[in-house]
Amino acid sequence: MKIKVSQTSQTPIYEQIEQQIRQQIFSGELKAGEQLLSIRALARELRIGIITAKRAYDDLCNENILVSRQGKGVYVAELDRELLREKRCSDFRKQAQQLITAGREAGLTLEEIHEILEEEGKSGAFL
Amino acid sequence: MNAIEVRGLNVRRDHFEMNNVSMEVPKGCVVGLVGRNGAGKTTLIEAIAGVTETGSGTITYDGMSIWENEKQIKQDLGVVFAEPWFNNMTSPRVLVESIYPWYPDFDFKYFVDNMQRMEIDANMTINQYSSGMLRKFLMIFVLARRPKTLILDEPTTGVDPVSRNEMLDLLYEFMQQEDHSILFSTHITSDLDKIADYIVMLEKGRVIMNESKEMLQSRYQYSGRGLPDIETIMLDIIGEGTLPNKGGR
Repeated sequence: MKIKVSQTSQTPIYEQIEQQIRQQIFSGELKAGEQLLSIRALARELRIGIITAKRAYDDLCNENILVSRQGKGVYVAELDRELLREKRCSDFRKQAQQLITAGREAGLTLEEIHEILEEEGKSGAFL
Repeated sequence: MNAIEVRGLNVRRDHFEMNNVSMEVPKGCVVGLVGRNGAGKTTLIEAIAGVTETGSGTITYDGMSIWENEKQIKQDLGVVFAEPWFNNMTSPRVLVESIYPWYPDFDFKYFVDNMQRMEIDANMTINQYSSGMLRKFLMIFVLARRPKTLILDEPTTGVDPVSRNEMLDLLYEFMQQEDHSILFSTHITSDLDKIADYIVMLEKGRVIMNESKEMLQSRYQYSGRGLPDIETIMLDIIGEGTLPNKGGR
């Protein structure tokens, strides 16, 4: 688990933590069942208040992304793979919509955008 | 449960009066006591430490009054005063050896390990220490008694950033235990703000603010400058601030 927080950001610290943990779970960096740092260890690691660290974990537990086991610690929840895939698919769809809008603004037709996507996909340059 | 709970405390001194002060240190939390010089921070800390005479009002420790279980309360309470209370012509080694028999719980290994870790020579006389070394030594000395509640009066005055960071390390280590709590005072923004869960602000012997840092910062979040530090919030509340949206009293 790698988390960085900015004390001067407009985004509250607990939200910065939540975003990064969520992202790492969806990307597979954090695996189901993996144990996270304890609340107090996280506070120490990030140099933040204990209540702030607790808030971040509590929120993610309420989203059922993390599970807290009394006296044992906080773990990444066993997420429903099908559900996770759907979620990631819908996230990608949103990004695709933005990409198409950007393409249209650049004066490209849908066919041209499609061609670019295929070319880039085949060249594998993004890897 | 509160590690420390102060209710309606009054203290009268020659040129100073503390009025109806109520505040608490929730168990497992860190409370920063802020306010300018003369606001009453040291008086409040001395009252909690039981070294100053108080008027009406109550102070409880884990729900107990001092006369209910003085021995236990004093054992669990570690206080780092702003001024060292011992002869500073002595060295920490001599000091520890002389008090050791009186404090059976004194963790000698913790003391030696952390003095070494902070690179403080225990054989030097204390008056030769820089203020950073002195503050770190005092903190280690009190922590070595293995208290559950730690109270620090102006722990970072005159301390350089590197040493402040080391002190913060010691405090975070102490807070890894869920039943440990900290109350510290400061008149300047220091790195210690980072560890605080609650901020209590004193002004002219009264509590003018008592809030969680989370709440406090979210109130100021839309000022367009990012999250302000405690010093900015303090100036704002006392009425000399520059933030566009006033926090108000």
